[in-house]
Amino acid sequence: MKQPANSSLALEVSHLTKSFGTNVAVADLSLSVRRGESVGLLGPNGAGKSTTLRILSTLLGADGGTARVLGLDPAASGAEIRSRIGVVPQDIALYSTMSARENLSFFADLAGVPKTRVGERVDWALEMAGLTDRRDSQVGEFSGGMKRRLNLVAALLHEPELVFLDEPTAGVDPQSRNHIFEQVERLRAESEVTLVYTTHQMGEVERLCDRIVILDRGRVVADGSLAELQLLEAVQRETAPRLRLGDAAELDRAAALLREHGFQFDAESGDADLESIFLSLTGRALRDDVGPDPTDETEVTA
Amino acid sequence: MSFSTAWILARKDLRLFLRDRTALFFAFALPIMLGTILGSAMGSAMSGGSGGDDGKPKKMKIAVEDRAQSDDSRALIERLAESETLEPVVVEDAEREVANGDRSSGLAIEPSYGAEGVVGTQNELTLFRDPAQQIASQVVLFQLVPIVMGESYGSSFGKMATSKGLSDMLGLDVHDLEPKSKSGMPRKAGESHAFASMAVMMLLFNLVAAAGTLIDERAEGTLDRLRLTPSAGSSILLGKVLVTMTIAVVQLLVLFAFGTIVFKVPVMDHLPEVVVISLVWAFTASALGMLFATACSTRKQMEGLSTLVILGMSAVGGAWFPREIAPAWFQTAGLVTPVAWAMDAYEGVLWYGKSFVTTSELDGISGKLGVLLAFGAVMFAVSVLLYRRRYAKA
Repeated sequence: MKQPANSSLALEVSHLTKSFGTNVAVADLSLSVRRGESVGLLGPNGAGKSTTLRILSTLLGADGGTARVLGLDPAASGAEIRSRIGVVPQDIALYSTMSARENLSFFADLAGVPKTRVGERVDWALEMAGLTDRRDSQVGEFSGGMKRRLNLVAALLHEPELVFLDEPTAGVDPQSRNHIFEQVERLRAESEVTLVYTTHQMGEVERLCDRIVILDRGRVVADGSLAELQLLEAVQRETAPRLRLGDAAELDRAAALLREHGFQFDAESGDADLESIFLSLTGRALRDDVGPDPTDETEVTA
Repeated sequence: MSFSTAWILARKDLRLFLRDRTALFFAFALPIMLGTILGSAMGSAMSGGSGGDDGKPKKMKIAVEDRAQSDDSRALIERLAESETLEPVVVEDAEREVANGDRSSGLAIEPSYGAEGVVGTQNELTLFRDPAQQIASQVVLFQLVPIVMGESYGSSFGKMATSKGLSDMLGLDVHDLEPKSKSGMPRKAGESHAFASMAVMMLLFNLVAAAGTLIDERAEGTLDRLRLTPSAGSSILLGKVLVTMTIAVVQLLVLFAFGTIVFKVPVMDHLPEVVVISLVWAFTASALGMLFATACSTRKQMEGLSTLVILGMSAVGGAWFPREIAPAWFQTAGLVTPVAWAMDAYEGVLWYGKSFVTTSELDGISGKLGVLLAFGAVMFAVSVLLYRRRYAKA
């Protein structure tokens, strides 16, 4: 039976599963993201991040469970979902013998941006990417960072309500990474957009996301704000945590939770370490045996 | 499936194609170069019945060694030179010419040739033949008989020295069925075959290459980005077909324009037929390209498989040489390829002067076009299924 969509949720995922042969990529994954929220999706290689994004962005069908994207079923309303979401792919997905402007105009046309607005949106995207001066240069001549910035804004031309960013800063220099952070922050400041951000860089999540979801072996192993994750880890390890809390209300909630679990609570300033939480929750073993890449379509259909 | 989305995609591919100089060379320059070479070669090989540029039948060369060095031997060489069908090439060693493969036949005029009282007692002439060129050798022998006999054995046999005289003697009413030309321009079987071959075979290679951009897009990640747009889905496949068809039509236009101007291929005599065949063939070849692009996982895989299949189909289908000279099983095998139907349609029009419909004199080509369309429709349907299967649901 179909469940009514919650209009305050941009994403609503329940018991989602997906396997490739004997390899389980997504196992009973449940997750929700509020509209306007920025959620970081963390996980080691093979945790199921990319597969989950591909299912939610309608590129891949799920084996089981339900998903609602902007209140719509990906299996039934693929075209409408695609018109309202933006996806920044992990790989640079641009045409290298076309200029920045030609690439953006092409993707704007395809995304259904009205012809009268294409020029305006392309100019906005070029400015956002800091590439206005290079608008007519071929993308093949760009540095890795420039391509990454263009790769990002190409997904924003149609003003999507929900944006999936799949490791948008992979392989770029600190300056371009910072520019991309600023792009994302500006995007959030200018609109009510919902962001789902996958990365291996803990610092990025700390800077850009309201909430962090850690996946491992296709399941959610932690879900909460940075402080809540620190708390969770501490509870699991029965150690005294060092928390970085955002405001007084968060401090009160954390204190109550800790006392509830029988911990002593002392407020002091200090650095939080998301990376240690991540390793604690997902383990330190290397993840080389993660099975096929979910982006390999041959495996998908095997 | 949205046509406007497909056209946006096709425009992008055309832009990329026009910026790729290598692709442009293979699409336009190479077919013209090969057409020129093949046209010249086939024109020479196939114009024996229809005449060369001067309208006269093509002569077969025969090496002649004059061992007699007599008036009679020189007279024989003169008669050979005057014949309609043979062209003597006087050499020092006729046997060596044939042994080296330079000529299919060599004639040695022995010292006893024409001498009194030697008839029937010793050889006056020796003919060397290359077993590898049996047909040419037999033709030479047949042509030699009246030339040699006509002078030696009286006027009744002398008639055999010309094909008209031979026909008159046998009471044959001979008709050379020269294809009808609206413009009155003489037709050339070799050139027509060569440009039909290029149109068929090169189009296949180029369209498979163009369709291969689907695999490239997948490898480079842009295909997913396209699939993430609202109306993409199967429009992506339609877009690829649109671009391959556009390239095909321009390619055929350039090729046939060149053939018309340089080789006098009678395209303008049958413009509607050539246009329709070209459109149908462009669709069928595009569908074959899409079939390869959706069936193969990598560019390398596609290039290997498509080269094998296209060369095989072109050989069996008659794009390399006329199917009529091949064994019966070979001709039958050709019919399971679209190449044979396309070649029959093009040659039917460009050489035999056929039209769409059957008349009292000639069969029409509509049936062949129908078969070609069916090939294209089936291959396109299979490629759509493969695309959907490979890319899950979109």
